[in-house]
Amino acid sequence: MTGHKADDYTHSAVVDTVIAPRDFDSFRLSAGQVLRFVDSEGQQCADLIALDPDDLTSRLSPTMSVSRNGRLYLGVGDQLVDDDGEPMLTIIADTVEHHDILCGSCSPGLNRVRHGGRGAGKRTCHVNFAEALRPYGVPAEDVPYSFNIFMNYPVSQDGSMEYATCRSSAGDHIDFRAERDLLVVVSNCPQELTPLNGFTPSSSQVIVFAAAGGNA
Amino acid sequence: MTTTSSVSATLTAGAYQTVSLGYGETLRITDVGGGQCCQVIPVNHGDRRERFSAPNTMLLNKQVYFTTGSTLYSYFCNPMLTIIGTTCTHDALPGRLPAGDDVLARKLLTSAFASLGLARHQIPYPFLAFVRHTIAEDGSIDVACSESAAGDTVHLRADLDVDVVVASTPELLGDSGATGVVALDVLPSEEGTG
Repeated sequence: MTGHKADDYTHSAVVDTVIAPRDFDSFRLSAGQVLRFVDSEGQQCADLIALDPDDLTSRLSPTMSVSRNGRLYLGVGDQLVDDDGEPMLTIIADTVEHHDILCGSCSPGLNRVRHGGRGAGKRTCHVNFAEALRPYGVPAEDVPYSFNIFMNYPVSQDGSMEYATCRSSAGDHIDFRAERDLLVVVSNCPQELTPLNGFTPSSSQVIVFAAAGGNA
Repeated sequence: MTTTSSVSATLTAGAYQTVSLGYGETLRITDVGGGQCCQVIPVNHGDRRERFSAPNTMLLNKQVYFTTGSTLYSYFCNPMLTIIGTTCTHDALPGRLPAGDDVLARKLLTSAFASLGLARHQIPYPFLAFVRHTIAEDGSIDVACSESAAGDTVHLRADLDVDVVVASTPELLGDSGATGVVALDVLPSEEGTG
């Protein structure tokens, strides 16, 4: 839905924060709250994971989300579900309509294989997620795979895939409504060795709106 | 369910086997009845933290369909298995799947991973032997489809010491009528080429 018209939930922000380039932030969402990710400067993607705060083994499942929605490119009305197919987040607004759900997160391993020494020591989304989940006792090897906001990684019909720069411009956003209480982590993708973020990671903004009915 | 090494076995629908491969050994999976679907998940024998990664495998092969020469990578992006010969294509894509149709497959993998000391949330999405999902231009994806015929094979060479969970799950193909019968053979390194 290009040019989404703001709904009434946008009048009551309970969180409004900037995520610096390459950084991440964590958010505790109550059921009904809406998380908005805004690409502040353009050509910036972000990786998002979601977990049940009361059972950290229940996580957003990209593969189950594809299975339940029947497509790789999710948009308004589609739900991100857990391993059991239970809804976690619903996309309720989207000004870009182009995201990735297959590719997981950039990681030290991917940088090593794809970029050799140039990738050494670079910040990655996986490192961000591991840091975010460490206080919860989730080991790095159990960091779940992500839904990748604005990431441009299309699959051709012959099965080939190649990344390209995000299609988002400054101010583009996507809104997710929490279908239950959630721990959500957003990694402002640090990748600077591929065209995904135009080789220059930039800042983004996350706003959390109160649930309809006024509960913050 | 047993763990095997250097043996042959036959799987039927709804069964799994964990096969231990030493570095350089090859697992040959043969579609006995035609039109099968096997879930294949390698786990590092010496470090259970290192498990198959479908996303890393697609990214590093730059391809969602796998054939001879494709490498299956781990979560840490190390090579785990390489397809050194096959007579059909395979993928690691999720397909359209109505709620409930994957219950048996998930139970199978949960049992298999429990025997490896791993929990349900640590089960990676599998490599799907003999399966090819069709992706439409708009990203729509259909129920899994098997294009293999009786006698088709895939040879997977171990790039490290690895335990490979293989589960026969024809129900992921919908009402295909597949029998689920596949044969597993472990071949020494010098006999592994397909």
